[in-house]
Amino acid sequence: MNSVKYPEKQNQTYSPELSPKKLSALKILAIDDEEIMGYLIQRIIKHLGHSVDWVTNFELALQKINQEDYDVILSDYKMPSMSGDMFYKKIIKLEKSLEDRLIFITGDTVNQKTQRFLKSIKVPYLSKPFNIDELNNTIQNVASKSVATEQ
Amino acid sequence: MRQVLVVDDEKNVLKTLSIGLQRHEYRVKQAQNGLEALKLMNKDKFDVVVSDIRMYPMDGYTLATKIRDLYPAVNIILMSAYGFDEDSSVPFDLNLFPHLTKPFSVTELVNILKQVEGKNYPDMQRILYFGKIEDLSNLLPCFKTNTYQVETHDTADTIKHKQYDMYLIDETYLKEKSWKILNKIDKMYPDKPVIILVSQDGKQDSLSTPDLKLTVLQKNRFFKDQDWAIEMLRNASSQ
Repeated sequence: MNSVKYPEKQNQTYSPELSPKKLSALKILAIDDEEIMGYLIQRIIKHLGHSVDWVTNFELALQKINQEDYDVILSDYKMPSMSGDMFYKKIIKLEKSLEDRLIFITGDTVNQKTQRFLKSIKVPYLSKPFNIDELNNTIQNVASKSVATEQ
Repeated sequence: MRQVLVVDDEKNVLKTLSIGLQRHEYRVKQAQNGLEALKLMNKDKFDVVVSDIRMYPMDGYTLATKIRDLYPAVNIILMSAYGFDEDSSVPFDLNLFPHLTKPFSVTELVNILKQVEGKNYPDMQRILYFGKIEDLSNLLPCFKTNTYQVETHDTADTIKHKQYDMYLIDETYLKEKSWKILNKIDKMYPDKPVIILVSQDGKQDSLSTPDLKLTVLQKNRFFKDQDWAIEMLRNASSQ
């Protein structure tokens, strides 16, 4: 069974009011074609104290990005209708600074081409299975980066 | 400590049995009729119900039938001052339940309690299911043999009244309401495992986060594949 690993520190809590270092609630767009993953990611993000919209493909994601202002865009790299690198190119064409808000999620095995591409761009990525700590840290890093760019 | 619910319309009987059972290390609660008993059972967990027959507004037979339906893991012992044999109006097979004719001693009752406890399912887990009960019909018999007892509801209010060992939510049935229910469970019982059923047909049929006590499962497989369903319940509750 696939699982998202849990943090080792047992008494650690993710309640937003108990994590003093946390930035205020963020607006996050999650992109994953798999319903199971989508549901779980939504749940985790809400648990981390942020709001989340979940879409199942890149086309819908681009529409959403056009309409709303997201602090973080968390996306599965491998999607059926468009590859992650195409999506990346479309996003930076839309608005160059959006790449600072992007996080990719990849499968546990990543082919060399994808690896090379991910290394060549500035976008952070998480491999499945990742734990909530890792996701939280990555989201926080990206958010502080995009906040800094805005200021 | 085992908890017993004693149901009788005579306060003296309630008092005597309560004191007697407490001396034998049982925790005891009292009700004066079937309706009152069911109300208590809705709030609290009992191992055994010891009930009189003739009561108003709900008699002991009706109560026993309802308990069998609602709480199959709870044992029932019936008692009557009138004897059982001559009463032709008995609506069901009395052999289903151990019964005592008054007067009886507390020791006699304790002996019967010990017998039925042996037959009890000590690890019975109570699941609250939010969804369509017909979907579960395939699974109910094997749930029961695997010591899972299911109750079903479709409103978030149920959560307030009673605590369960596990929560099962059909997202395809409840839609946005699932989030409301999920948040409520998270707030009130953060340690209890939650399983969410989604409709996806795909590569992955299960995913879980142990620290959120959350498991997401593919609905079709869950309803069709009994062994897998039980395995998933076990995994969820052992997280």
